[in-house]
Amino acid sequence: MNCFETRNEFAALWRKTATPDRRAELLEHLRGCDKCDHAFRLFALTAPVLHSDDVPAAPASGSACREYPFDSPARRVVPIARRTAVAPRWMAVAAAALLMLSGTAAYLSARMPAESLSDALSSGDTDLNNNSANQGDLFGPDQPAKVDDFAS
Amino acid sequence: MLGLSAARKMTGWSLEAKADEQLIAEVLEGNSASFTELAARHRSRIERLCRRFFRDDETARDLAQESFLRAFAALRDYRAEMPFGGWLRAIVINLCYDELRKRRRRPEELIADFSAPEANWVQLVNDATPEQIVGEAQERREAYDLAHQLLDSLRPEDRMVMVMKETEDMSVSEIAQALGWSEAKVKIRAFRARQSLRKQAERMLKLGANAAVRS
Repeated sequence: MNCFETRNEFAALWRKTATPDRRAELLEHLRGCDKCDHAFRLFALTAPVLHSDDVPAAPASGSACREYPFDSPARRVVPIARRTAVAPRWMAVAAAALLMLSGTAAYLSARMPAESLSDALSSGDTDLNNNSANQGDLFGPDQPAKVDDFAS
Repeated sequence: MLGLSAARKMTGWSLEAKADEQLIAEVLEGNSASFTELAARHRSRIERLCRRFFRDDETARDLAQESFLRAFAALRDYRAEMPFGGWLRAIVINLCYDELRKRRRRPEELIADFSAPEANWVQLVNDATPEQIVGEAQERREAYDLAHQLLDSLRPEDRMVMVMKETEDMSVSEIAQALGWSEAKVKIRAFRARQSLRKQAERMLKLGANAAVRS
């Protein structure tokens, strides 16, 4: 009996429907194969629901306490491990939008002049009131008048 | 006719199929007492199926009762192409699926520690021989409770597929038909259910081994 066949027979072993020969083969394989043995132990954890037809009766009240002292450390039931808080999807979208907005604002503020136009006009230390200089700045250097052209 | 007999053979609900149809005809003619007989005939199977999904006996009984009510209300829609048992099972499965979704637990939830009987059972599964495990499991309620706890960690869809495949021996196409899913979805769910269950069972065995070391 190989591993594949063995694992297919777990349910029969659990339900006790395997023939004695088959059962003996199965158990023999389980004794010699660690992987199948481990797989059977995993199977055994869910088999009471998935592969048993009868539900074992619940223990009579108090019997568990008699069998296992109440102060036994193993009796403590630790609260169920809660899932770590996961932020909802909309929060991620909002955070991304906020990041984009702040990035855009930073970019624009870097590109814009620090002083506004009115501040620049009111201050006297600029060349904005000097028309010739301004004209020169704006349209290129002034050409010197050619006197010789009028002399004749 | 061949298809019907094959379907009956597959579902394993064939023994009373013919008589079921007679009873249904009587109910449809106005004899509602025949439905009581019909329900009595299928009650234990239906309750057992509900117990595969819900640990609580009362919930299982309530769901079984609810499914009979639904079956009674929809009896006129029943077509004899499939056995009554299969039709009823589809109603139960959908009802249990709805209930599982309603009380959906987080998949990651798994108890971090066990009560003493549960710890003993996990320790036994870790250490005993397969024969001993099989022998002991029938007597231990905690084995049943822990198995439910493991299955509770699955998503409702995964659990549905797992139970239908493992306990009802339903094929992929039968599951797909019962749940109104594609076959590909059933296969994916079955794969994920197995993976997830294996992971959780490994974790449970480790916890059991650690608990044994501590004690």
